[in-house]
Amino acid sequence: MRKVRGVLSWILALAIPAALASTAPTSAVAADSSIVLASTTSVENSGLLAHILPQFTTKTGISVRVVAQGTGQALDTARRGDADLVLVHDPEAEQKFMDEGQGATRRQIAWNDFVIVGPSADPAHVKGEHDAVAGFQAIAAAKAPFVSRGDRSGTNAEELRIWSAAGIAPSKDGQGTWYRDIGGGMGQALNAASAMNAYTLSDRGTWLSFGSKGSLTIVIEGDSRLINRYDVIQLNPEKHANAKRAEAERLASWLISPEGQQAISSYEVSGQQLFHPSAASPK
Amino acid sequence: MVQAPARSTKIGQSDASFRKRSAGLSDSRVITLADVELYSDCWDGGIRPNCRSIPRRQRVGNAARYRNRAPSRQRTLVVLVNAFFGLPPVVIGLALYLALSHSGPLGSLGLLFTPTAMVIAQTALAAPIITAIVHRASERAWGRYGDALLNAGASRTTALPHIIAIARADVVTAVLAGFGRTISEVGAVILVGGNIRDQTRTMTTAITLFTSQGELPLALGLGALLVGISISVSAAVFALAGTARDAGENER
Repeated sequence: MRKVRGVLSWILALAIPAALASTAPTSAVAADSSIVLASTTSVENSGLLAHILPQFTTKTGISVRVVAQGTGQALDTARRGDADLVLVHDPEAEQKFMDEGQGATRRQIAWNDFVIVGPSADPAHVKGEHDAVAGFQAIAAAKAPFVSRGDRSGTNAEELRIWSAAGIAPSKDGQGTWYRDIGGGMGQALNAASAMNAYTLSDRGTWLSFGSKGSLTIVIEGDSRLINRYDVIQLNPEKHANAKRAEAERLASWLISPEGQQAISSYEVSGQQLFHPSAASPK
Repeated sequence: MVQAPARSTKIGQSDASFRKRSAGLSDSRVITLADVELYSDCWDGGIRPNCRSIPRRQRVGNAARYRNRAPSRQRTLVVLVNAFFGLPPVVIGLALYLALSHSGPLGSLGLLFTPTAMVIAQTALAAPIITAIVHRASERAWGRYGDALLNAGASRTTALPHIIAIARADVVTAVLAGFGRTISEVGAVILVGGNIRDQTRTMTTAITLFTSQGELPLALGLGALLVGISISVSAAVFALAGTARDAGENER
C-alpha cells in the first residue's frame, strides 16, 4: 500500500514539471540534414557566421548549428565527438589537435588581426605604438589594469604568448592587483575592461562590432605578431565515426570556395571589413 | 471538486464520533486508546504481517502518525529532494552535458545541443522544488484529514487525489516556484543547449549573448520582457486559482 502511494506521488511529482516543460519552445525541428559547427565566440559574436551561413544553407539545404565557445573548449567539444566541424583560431592548440590524430584536414579560411584596446586616458602611455611586446611590458611596468580572458580561447592563448615573449608572468606578478583574469568570452572581457578602465587584447572583429565601448579605444595595432588566423578543421573519420562527414565536407569546401570567400569578405560593420579571406594564399 | 471529507456520505459511524476523529490527532487518540497497545506495532503503516488481519478501518491513527514514523529510507529521500533545491543549475547542466555527450553513456541518443536536452535539464531542476513543496503540503493535509479519509472508506491510494486537492494552494505555489526556476535559468541550458540561434537560444541565453556583444539596451529590453512574462504568468495562475487559495486557508 505504501509502495503504491510512493510510486503514485512520484508519478505526480514528475508529471507536473513534465507538463511544464512541454510548454517550452517547441523544437524548431532542424532540416533533414544539419551539422554542428564548434566555433569561437569571435566569429559568432562579431556576426560573421550569421552573415555567411544562411547563404550556405540556401544553397545546400544543410542547416548549421553553431556552438560558439572559446577555441580550447571548441576543440574539446570536437574531441568528445559532439561536433561535426571546427572553426577556430589558435595555431598551437590546432596543431596539438592535429597531432593527436583528431583532425583530418586543416585549412585557413580567413584572417584579421588582434588589437590591444585600453582606456583613452592611457595610464601606461602606449597609445600609437606598434609593438605588442613592448606595449605589454609598459602596461606591466605601470601596473595598469589588464583584463585577461582566462578561458583557453584563441585570444587568451595569443595574449599569453605575448606575455611570454615579454618575459613577464602576469598571473604571478599581477594576480589580484592589476592583472584580472575574468574567465569569460571576448564580449565579457570588453565589458569588464570598459568598466575597469583596463587594457585588454581583442580580435578586431569583435572589437568593431562591440556595441558598448565606453572610453575604450585601440592603443596598439599593426604588429605582425598580432595576426589572427581562422582555420576550418574536418574531423578524422577513424576517431569520429559519428561526425557527419559528407555535410561537414560540403561546408568546409564552401568556406574555401570563391563563393564562400566572397561571402566572408562582404561582411562589414559600419563600413569596415572584419575578415579577410585567405584560403587561396594563407597568411 | 472534491468536498471536504466531513461531508462524505460513506461515513459508517455516528456524525459525532466522526467529527471527533477528524478533528485532529489528539481526539483520534482518545477514541482508539483501547487499540493503541494492541495495534501499536501497526502504526508504521500496517505493512507487517500480523497487521494484515486488522481491518483497515481499525487502523485508525496510522495516518496521523505516519509522518513521524516514516522509515529512514523515505526520510533520506525527503532530505535529498530538499537538498536538490539548492543544486546549482550549472552542475546539473555539466552532469547532463557529460551524460549526453557522444563520449558519454547516453551519447548515442544524439540529444546534446537540442531543445530536448534543455527540457531534461529544466525538468531535473524544477522537479525537486515541486516535489518537496507538494510533499510537505500533502503531509500536512494527510496529518489533518488522513484519518477522516480512511474512515470514509478511502484507501491510501484513492485518498491521494483528495489530499492533493486539499493542498492545492500549495500545489499552485509549487508549480509557480518550478516555473520561476526554469524561466530564469541560464547556466544549465546554455551548456546542454549550446545557445544555437533559432534552435536552443532562450531569452536568458539571448540576454547573455547580447550582453557579451555589448548590446546592453537590447539585453535589458529582453530582460524586461522576461520579467513581464513572469509576472503575467504568476498573475494568471493566481487569478485562476482564487478558489484554491480559499481552500488553502480552510486547511490551515
